[in-house]
Amino acid sequence: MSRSILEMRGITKTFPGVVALNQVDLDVAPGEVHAVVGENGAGKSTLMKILSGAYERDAGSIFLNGQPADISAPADAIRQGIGIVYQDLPLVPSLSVLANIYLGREETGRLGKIDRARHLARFEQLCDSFGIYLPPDSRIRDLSVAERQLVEILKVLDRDAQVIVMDEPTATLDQNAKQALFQTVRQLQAAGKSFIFITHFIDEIFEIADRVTVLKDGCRVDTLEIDQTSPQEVVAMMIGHSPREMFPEKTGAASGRPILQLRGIYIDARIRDFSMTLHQGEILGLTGLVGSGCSDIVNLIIGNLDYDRGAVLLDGAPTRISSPFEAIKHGICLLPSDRKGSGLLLDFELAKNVSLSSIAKISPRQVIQVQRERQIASEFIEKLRIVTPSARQRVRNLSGGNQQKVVLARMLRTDARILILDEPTQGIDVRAKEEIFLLMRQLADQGKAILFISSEFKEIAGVADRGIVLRNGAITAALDRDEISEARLVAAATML
Amino acid sequence: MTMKRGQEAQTRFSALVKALSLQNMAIVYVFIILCIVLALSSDAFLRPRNIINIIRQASVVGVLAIGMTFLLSTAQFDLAVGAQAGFTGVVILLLIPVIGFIPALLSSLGIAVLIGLITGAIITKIGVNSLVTTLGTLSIIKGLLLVLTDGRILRGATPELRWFGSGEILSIPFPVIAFLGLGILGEFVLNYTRYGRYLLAIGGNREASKLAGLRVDEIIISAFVLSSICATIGGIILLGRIYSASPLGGVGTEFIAITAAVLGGTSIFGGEGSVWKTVVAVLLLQVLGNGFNLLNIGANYQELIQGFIMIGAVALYTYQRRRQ
Repeated sequence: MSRSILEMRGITKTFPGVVALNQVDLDVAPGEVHAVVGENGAGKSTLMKILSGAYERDAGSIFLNGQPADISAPADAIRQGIGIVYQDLPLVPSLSVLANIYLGREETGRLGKIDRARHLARFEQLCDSFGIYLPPDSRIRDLSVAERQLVEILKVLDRDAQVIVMDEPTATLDQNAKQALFQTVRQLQAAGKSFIFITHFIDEIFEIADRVTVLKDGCRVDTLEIDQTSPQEVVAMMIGHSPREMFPEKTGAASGRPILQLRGIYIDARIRDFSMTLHQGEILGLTGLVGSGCSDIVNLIIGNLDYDRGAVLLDGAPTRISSPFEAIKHGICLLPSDRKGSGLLLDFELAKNVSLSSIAKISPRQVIQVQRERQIASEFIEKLRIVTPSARQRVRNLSGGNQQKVVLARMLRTDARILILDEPTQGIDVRAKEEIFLLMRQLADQGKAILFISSEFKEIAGVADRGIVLRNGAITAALDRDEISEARLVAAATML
Repeated sequence: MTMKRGQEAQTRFSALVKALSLQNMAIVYVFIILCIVLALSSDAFLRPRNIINIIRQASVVGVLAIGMTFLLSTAQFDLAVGAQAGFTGVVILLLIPVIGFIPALLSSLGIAVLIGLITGAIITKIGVNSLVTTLGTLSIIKGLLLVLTDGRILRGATPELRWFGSGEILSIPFPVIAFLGLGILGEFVLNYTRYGRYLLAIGGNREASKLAGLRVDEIIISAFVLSSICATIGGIILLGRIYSASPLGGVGTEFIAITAAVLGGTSIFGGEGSVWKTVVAVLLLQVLGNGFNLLNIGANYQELIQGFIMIGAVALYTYQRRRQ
């Protein structure tokens, strides 16, 4: 027991209406790489936020080197030797490597002048002792993602971190960079540092980790020695026997007319040889982990992103769509994944949000017919069962599920025939999810073609007629209606 | 059914209460109070002549502020409009002897469209922000003014030109008609038409507007063109009022225009805009100056007080929004 450098015991955390973590244990030995895996919402990030002091736990205790540790703010965690390397790498792009590493902890000389020489000496010593090399004066914005990650690692090492938490460190790295990162991790491991490795990529943990803890729905399923398990076993534990959610029956016409085809698309080095065909009356699922390229495909279809090679065909004819304006003219409409950032006008009333894409139809002449606008919104409030006091409510005051329905209503008003739903269920409750799934199926039955993007494999398996899985910008599986299952989707997204 | 109608009446009533709330109408109430105070303390204030005079004096800044309200609604602004108003006068005075009155007037409007197009294109298509871009255009236009006038004041306004400063229709001076007319037109366009809705939507959330299929860049450029045209109309009125064009004419008015729009509750972050309240705010600032004269307080205090009012009003808006 006392051999552990970090022990978390019985960690419990509840949010209103959700038990995010339920009696979770985790222990990390000195010099160990400990992987933590689980599906979205399993509780990985919540657990790490408790360890980093960003969240307060409801119950449970944390021990460092066998001593009870009091972690109630991020500064406590840092002081006690816990270093977090965040996925989004919070660095100042315009400052140098050196300035970033010592940001907020600058050593100063006379007149408050920053003592660069002392920083440099410390930096070089740090680099030497861990076998890392980075140019100290390069600006962060000129570095690759992998190099930025090293800056973050150096930052936590300089604060004498004993346990380094890495959140999805490989999601945005290519193969070479990944191997280089693993090499660094092994060197640091040899120097006695411990790692907690949060990842979605199951095959990677068999390369780098000593043990793996599997979380599911806020509970720890098990902790396994890596050489006594297999990727298949880990995936099976992650999925578990989920209670069946209410998915609508799949009735997608297998023989619908192809409407939208992408052929052999290349975008920079990010997307390689991507092809898909979307038929009338079907729901096509597109899935993959963060950084897999799904969002590039979405942006390409709606004309927000250019491609280098390949072709886009609408109704069999090559078509160049160069802006969302043109996409809508072609009957392609997007429900953006970032509902608040790129979907809604939060301070506008509901009716104005609904009419935004179709106001020319509501008011054929310039003057807006406000009564008609509100009446149309009211119809959608009834049809989509949007919970709101009136059509004049500001959408900022609606719940996530109801906000999403407002964006959906806007799409439906356009009479688009190709609907692209990018993570439509993000941050909304189960009931609203079910309603949206049902609505998607009804729309498909009416002949719409639906491209459904989600990182929730369960949803894709439950809702889509067919599924395409991306990993690192390439298709790793295209599953037909009799092949699509959560296990296959997870396997294709997480294993090579 | 009756329930529903009752509810509807209730929402309508609460909407009215909200529309008349201090938060929404602060500037209007301040304006009314100020007018009452001045009317009580000076007999001269309410005389039609004085009122017409106030509106006429406010007209140049007012027209600029109306254009600025359009820009601010889309979360843009233009620091060069004041200088552009002065530039208009110089251009017209230089062109009249060469090509005649009407062509000179039309040319100045053509130049306005061109300036708006170029400014808007630099901001949207290249992506330079509007502060930097319009600081640049401000400097260019001021420079052009000096080059074209060689630093001297140009005279030679023709009688036709004077009409734009003091001509009357139904005994109401043209500047008053232009200012209030544009105010009414602007309020209508911004809050009751599709085009206005698009401007506000882009200011509210540019990305969402783009994804909703609006031609965001083109609409922003058009707002710059409109503001530029307003600046030129302001310049024509200015020329008609002072009969001459100086190399420094109009410079600085853009700040009063921005002050007025912001006082009127238009957010510099876009998404909200009210032309009629901008008009009220312009009049408020003018009445303040007028009041100082009537009450024999030095006009020197005007800018000082103006600054306090602006910060006070915006602090109030911001505080109330944060509390929501």
